[in-house]
Amino acid sequence: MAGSDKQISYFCPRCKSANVPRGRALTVSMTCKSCGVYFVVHSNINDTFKSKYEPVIPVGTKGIFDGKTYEVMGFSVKREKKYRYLFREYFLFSPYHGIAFLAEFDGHWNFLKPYANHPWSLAYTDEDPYVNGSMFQLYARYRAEVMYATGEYFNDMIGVTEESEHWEHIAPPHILTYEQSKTMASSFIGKYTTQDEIAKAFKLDKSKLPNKIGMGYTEPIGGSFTGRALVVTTALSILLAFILMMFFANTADDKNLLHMSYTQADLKDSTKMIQTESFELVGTKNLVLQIYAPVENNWFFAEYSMINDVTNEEFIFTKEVEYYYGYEGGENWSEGSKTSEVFLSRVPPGKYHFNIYPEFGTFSGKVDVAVFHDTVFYTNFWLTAVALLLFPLGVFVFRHYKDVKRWQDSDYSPYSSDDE
Amino acid sequence: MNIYTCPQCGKSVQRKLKDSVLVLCPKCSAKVFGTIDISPESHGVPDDLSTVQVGSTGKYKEKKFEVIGRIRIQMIDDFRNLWCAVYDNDKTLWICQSHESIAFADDNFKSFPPKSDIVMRAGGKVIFGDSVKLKVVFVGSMLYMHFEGEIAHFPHPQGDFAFVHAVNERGNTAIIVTKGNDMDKTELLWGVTKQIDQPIFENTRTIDGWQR
Amino acid sequence: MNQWEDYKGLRWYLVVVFMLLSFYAYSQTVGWLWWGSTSTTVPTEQSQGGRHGYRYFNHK
Repeated sequence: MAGSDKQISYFCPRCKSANVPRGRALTVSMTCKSCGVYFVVHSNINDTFKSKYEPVIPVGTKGIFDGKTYEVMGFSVKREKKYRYLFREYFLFSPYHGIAFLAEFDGHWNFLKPYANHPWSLAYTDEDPYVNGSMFQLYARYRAEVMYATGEYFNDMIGVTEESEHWEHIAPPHILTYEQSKTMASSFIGKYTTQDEIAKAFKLDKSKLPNKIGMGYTEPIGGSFTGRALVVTTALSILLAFILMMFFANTADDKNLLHMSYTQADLKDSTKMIQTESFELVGTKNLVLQIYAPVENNWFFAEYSMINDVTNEEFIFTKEVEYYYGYEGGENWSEGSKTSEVFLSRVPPGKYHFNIYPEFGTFSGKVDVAVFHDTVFYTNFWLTAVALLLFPLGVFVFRHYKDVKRWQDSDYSPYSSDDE
Repeated sequence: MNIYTCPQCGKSVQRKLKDSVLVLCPKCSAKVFGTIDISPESHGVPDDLSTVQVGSTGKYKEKKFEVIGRIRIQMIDDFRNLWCAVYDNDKTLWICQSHESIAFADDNFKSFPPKSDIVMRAGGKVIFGDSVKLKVVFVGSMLYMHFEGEIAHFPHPQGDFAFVHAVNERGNTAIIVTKGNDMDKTELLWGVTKQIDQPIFENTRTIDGWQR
Repeated sequence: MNQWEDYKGLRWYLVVVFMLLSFYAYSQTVGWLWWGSTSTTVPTEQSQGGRHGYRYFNHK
């Protein structure tokens, strides 16, 4: 037998009505069902309220969280003493799953359960608590007063609330609370609960719930993943890109197909051009043309035509080599280079030769040309890495922006120096 | 076999602990055995919707226990259920249950150790000797107490005591019952804290009118 | 939130990562430099007439 079946009832100290508590011997305080006065059943403490507030979830409503059915035992409206904002608490109970709370502020909800292992309950410390692998940061420290209550409670809810100091630490979407009075220290751990979850749990019309205002202080930001998961994924992706880059760098042929030199004297009279020997390209790869012209405060320009010996398909491009230097204002300066490089992407396989149409101008030196096939190049890797970083960077900038908004109402904002 | 017959209803009652100090009839709450006296109002426990009951079983440190009795202590703001269980065949196990935690002590209440001290407020220190320190999480004056089933030694069974619950980061729990902060009238139960959401009990009761 | 749930939330990013790395591997295989390669011109009918664009020479 777990207790007498004899029905418990308490008489209202004001109107003398009999009240049968739903929580039986657990109930320590309740409001009279007839006149609404709050009273503590084991003492003569009682209180009335100046204002009346309607709960959006009526006392007695059953709600399911994580498959566990809780019943709303009490509803209270509390006011933070310093900044005087109101918040609402629903006291939930199940004989099978114990007590719980739903706290609502500005349309944002947190579901809280008792947590006996709060580091502040166990030891003398005021450091931010580290719980379940997360560091919780202090968001609020306050005292509160009760503006209204209805239903029943398993302690002197008004006395405990008003005699306690409250600390709230957050590691969104989680919240860790600690409250201490002269007689008790208690702690709860909770999680942000969406309006959809509340409406579903209590089978309520979502439109009846209070409208969300601003950013909830435990509201998760942007996506159902942690920053850590994003960092790990991005780092692994860049590592994979690096491994691919190393693979391609090690397997590139980097074959020198042609190396030749010419001067203005080598130009064919009729066409004023140089025709190179033919070379064979195997597979679609890149082609690099390196040009060296020993220009001194001068330039050298040429038009190049790479021609497929069989199909006559032609790729035309130009390239200039220029190099200038001097001494001015007590300093040496230089501009340009004596070498220049051409990079041709995705050149189809086949047999090719170059026709070069140079413009020597006043330059009269020897020009070197070298052609390489399937060379190593890293630009794509860096572009890939940058592309891989874009989304995480965007997420972190967005989350930072939202996080600053989250903390803007806190006296303990880690961003307070940024705001000043 | 320690079998007693209830003097009030005639029910046959078995005493399961060799060092129990009180056995109440499970049917009518009359005293069937006892070396202590309790007030008439303390016989029987009001229904507090507890799913644990006399007869509930479980395991602690891989050894079986069976709940055989309870002291329910009502304080102005809170309560504690001190479940008395027979553990590892014939030993005593106390299970201290509140809304927020549950603590196990496979021992009996003992005298408060010498060179020890209690600061009687939440957040205060409990010090044993030179090294062991605990933090007080609850202090309450007993308002009512009720008994059911079979009970091992409990200090101040007539009531009028303060109840102190202290814990530390190593998971230790101290349940302290004291009178007038007099260390000679203070006794201690030493145990470990467990989270209340861990499944602990079997043979619990279903409560009418409440869904799971 | 367990770890799997955490990565499940990143599934669209993982799809993009897979596509990007596949494209990178393809580009390296065919020697496709995305940015900085020299632009080339293929002669058109007009350019063959010598009116526009590049000069055209008979290579044979």
